[in-house]
Amino acid sequence: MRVIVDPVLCEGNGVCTQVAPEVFELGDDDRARVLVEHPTEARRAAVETAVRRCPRRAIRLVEG
Amino acid sequence: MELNPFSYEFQENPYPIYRWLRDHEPLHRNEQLEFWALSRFRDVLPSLVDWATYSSAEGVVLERLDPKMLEATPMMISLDPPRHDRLRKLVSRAFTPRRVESLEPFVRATAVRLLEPLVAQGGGDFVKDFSTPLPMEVIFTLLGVPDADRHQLREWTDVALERDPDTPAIPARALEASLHQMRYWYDLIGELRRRPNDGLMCGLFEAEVETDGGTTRLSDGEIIGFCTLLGAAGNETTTKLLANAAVLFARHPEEYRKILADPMRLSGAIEEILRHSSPAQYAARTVMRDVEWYGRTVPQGARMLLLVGSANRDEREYREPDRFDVDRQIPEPLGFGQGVHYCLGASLARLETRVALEELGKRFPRCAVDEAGCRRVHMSNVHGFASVPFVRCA
Repeated sequence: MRVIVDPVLCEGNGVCTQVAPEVFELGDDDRARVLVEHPTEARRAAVETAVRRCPRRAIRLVEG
Repeated sequence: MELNPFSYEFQENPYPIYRWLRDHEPLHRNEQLEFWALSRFRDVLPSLVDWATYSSAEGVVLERLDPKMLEATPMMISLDPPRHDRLRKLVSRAFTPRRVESLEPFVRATAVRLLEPLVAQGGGDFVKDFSTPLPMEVIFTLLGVPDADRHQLREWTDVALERDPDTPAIPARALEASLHQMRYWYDLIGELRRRPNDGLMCGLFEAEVETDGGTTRLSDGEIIGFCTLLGAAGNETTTKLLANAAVLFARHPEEYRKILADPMRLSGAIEEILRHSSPAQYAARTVMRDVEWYGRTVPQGARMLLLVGSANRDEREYREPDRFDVDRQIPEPLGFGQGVHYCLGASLARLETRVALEELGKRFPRCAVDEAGCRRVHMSNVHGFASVPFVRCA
């Protein structure tokens, strides 16, 4: 799986960095950055939670 | 059972009607006022996110807004992407959680300055003396509105949103107040173009908007739209949220004691206040294609109310939803909306509420409210109090 943050939609609310800190961090530009573009299956649940809880719906999970 | 958002009785306590709707008519139709409504959490949430099906372009309240007015002073709250995104991008950087954090000392100093007289007098009107002026000073300082003009401008915002009982017709006094407000912003923009300050508004003069053929500057109409929106949204809902908090804590002293004893619980408590007594009760949308709900077809062009206030009390989502519980887990909060229209000021509202409750807690060990003396506002989609008599107890 591949994790993508839409830089236009992201407004740095920081929900993803709280639910999946191993995968996301807040950049200096106040936008979320993907630390691990292809996280392991072990991180799937956390990433899916981040996708679902992002208030701006700025995160996508692409299989493969 | 009928849902009429303009009924004063409904505004007093909408929750029994919401419960009936969720149980019996999760897709509700009001023939007379010509709208449909969704009331369950799992129906409201995805619809809020689906801006392509549920459009904001005809406004987000049930009242019919003048399309010419919407076009003359466009506001991102009543625009769909991509126009929405172009405008939002210009101001979103000013409201990120990190930028908003830097306002904390100013918000705290303002809260303390407003609370001190209430301590000295042993109480006052929580709305008039505290929950109105606190967000007002914050948002108008950000926008660069001179001190002397703030109360008048704030008053116009209130009057512009007031509605008569039972009718969606916008009262003449409300239209008049909107025009006063617009005229004020127009004059202030002229004044600030001549003598710029470092406020948010002057940043908008320089901002470049991407268009198909290149970039353009914002028109005066667009800047007026921004100011009207930020001025209203930055005031009305936070004023209601703070006063709803005071009333809830007065009714539930054990919950107030919990946040006083352990300030770490405060951020969760704020989400619970937003869930239990949300200032924003619904978002209206226009349906862009025929949609099926519960075996019925809602036709393209219909108005749909997404009842956030009801979704927040849905027993399918929350256990004992009517109970106010500061320790409740709220994984997908709806109080600020979700998706492209997610409240731009959510971080600011959370900061103002946290600081306000921290400073209140230091000075008022008990939260005592004269409920018989409370008065509600009568607005279309904003619920809360116009007056909350408040006394200090030892």
